[in-house]
Amino acid sequence: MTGDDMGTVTSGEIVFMRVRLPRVAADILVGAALSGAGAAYQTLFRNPLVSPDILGVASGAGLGAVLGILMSLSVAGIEAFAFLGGIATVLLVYLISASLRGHDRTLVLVLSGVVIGALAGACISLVKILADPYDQLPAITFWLLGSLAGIKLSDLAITAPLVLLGVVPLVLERWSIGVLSLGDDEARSLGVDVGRLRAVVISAATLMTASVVAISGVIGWIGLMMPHVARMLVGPNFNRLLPASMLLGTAFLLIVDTLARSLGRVETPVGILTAVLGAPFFLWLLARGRRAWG
Amino acid sequence: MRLVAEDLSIGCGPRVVGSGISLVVLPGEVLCLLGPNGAGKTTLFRTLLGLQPALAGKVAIDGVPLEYLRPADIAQRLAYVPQAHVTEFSYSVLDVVLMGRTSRLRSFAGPGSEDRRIALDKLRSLGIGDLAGADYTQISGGQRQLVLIARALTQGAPFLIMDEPTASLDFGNQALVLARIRELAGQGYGIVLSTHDPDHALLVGTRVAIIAEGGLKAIGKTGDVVTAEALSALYRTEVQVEETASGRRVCVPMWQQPDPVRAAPGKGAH
Repeated sequence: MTGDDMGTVTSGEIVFMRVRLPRVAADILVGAALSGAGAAYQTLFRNPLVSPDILGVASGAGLGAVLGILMSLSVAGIEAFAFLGGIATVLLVYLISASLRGHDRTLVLVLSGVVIGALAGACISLVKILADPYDQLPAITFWLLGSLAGIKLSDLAITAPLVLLGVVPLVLERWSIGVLSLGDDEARSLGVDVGRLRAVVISAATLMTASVVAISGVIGWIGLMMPHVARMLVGPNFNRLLPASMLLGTAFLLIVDTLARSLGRVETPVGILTAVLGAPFFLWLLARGRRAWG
Repeated sequence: MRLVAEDLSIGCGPRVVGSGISLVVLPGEVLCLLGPNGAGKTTLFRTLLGLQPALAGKVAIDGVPLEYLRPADIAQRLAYVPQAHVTEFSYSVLDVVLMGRTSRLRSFAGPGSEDRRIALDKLRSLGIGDLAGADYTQISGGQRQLVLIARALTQGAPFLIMDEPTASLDFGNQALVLARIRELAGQGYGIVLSTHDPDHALLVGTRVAIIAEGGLKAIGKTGDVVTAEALSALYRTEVQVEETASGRRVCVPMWQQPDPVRAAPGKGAH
């Protein structure tokens, strides 16, 4: 928009187009992607307590982002580093687990994810020590907390197609992914090519998570909580669970992000709010016990 | 239609669990596998199902070796009935049975009304049609075992492989599941099942195989294989096969000490 337009465009419209609209669109995209990836992983790993970060995608993206900040890259450069960091980490985890044959594949995947994720966390701490404490360190801290402030429509133009690219295979394979939740042997004996489908699910969920984490930072808990709520509403069948989780994630992040924006005089990073809500939710789930995992 | 294992070596990597195993399963017969814990029954089943490769030899259905078949092709010929388990998520009974249709669905499709009709049909044929809407994690172990059998039937496979279908069931449910297995053999299914109870082999087995110490010790007609000598050697405890008044044969462990009921007639049994 140029100065000439200022006569016809109100400041309200500018705020809406440049600030509010991208932010709402980002809430929708990030909430849907994290919750959809969470639903896919909980079904794949037959465990209702896993999150989209179980294979280290967020830790890897975080490491990529802080490296980008340390190197004083542009915003776009930091986002690209975060995206690639997330993808590379999961690829590493997948290759490690594939090379350890003869073990329970799912268990090895999860354990490798935890180990590599912890390693990435250690590297992030190292970068924090090396970073300039007045300029870079606050930027790193803020990024790691996760926030949707300052998102532009141009960010979303790249992220939205990437997320869609991840959602499509999950939708196409919705039935077989549900069968995977019976365990590898049973799924295969029912006719599912387990190895291929597992790779498809991991690639799709990683693509979705890495592309939104790159623009929003690490917003935790949504991907763990929303599939739970969705299961309570529509049951565990993945063909219903996936759309329900994505819709709920969208609604939840819209509400929480609006709170983050309006609660105090200074905006609270939304990642803090989701964690504040998520931790008691998780404990409540544990207290309700197995039945609640429905 | 026949399921054939030829000179099979089974195991994982360098660890050979059993070798030289050859067997044939025909439609309408029940082959019961007896063997102590750790003898390799589960490994043999996994190999027969193509879940792990044979170390040597081959498994073939109608002359086609398993390694030439995709998972969906195998599932249309061989159905697996695992031990009754609880799923992580609360699927309905109908959901679990519908998963049996997976190998019959077109790519990227979910089950349709025809699949639903087949699933309900199979549930009814096993006498549990009223459970369709129930929560699979909340029904009894015997009912879960029947649900898993129903799921296997929806695959439309001529052969059923059942891993200890009577394990952890109470007496009534064992009898119920065994009765259904007999009916299925009567309908023409070829069935392989493993059991720890030789009486169950006597009840439903048309043939029996004994697997122990790294191979097939015996295979043949139930009456020829389930003998006092064979069972005593297999389970390392003296066993007698006796005939009841109604003409059925049962296995009885022979102990030195007297029968507790007869030894203390005044007190009666607890």
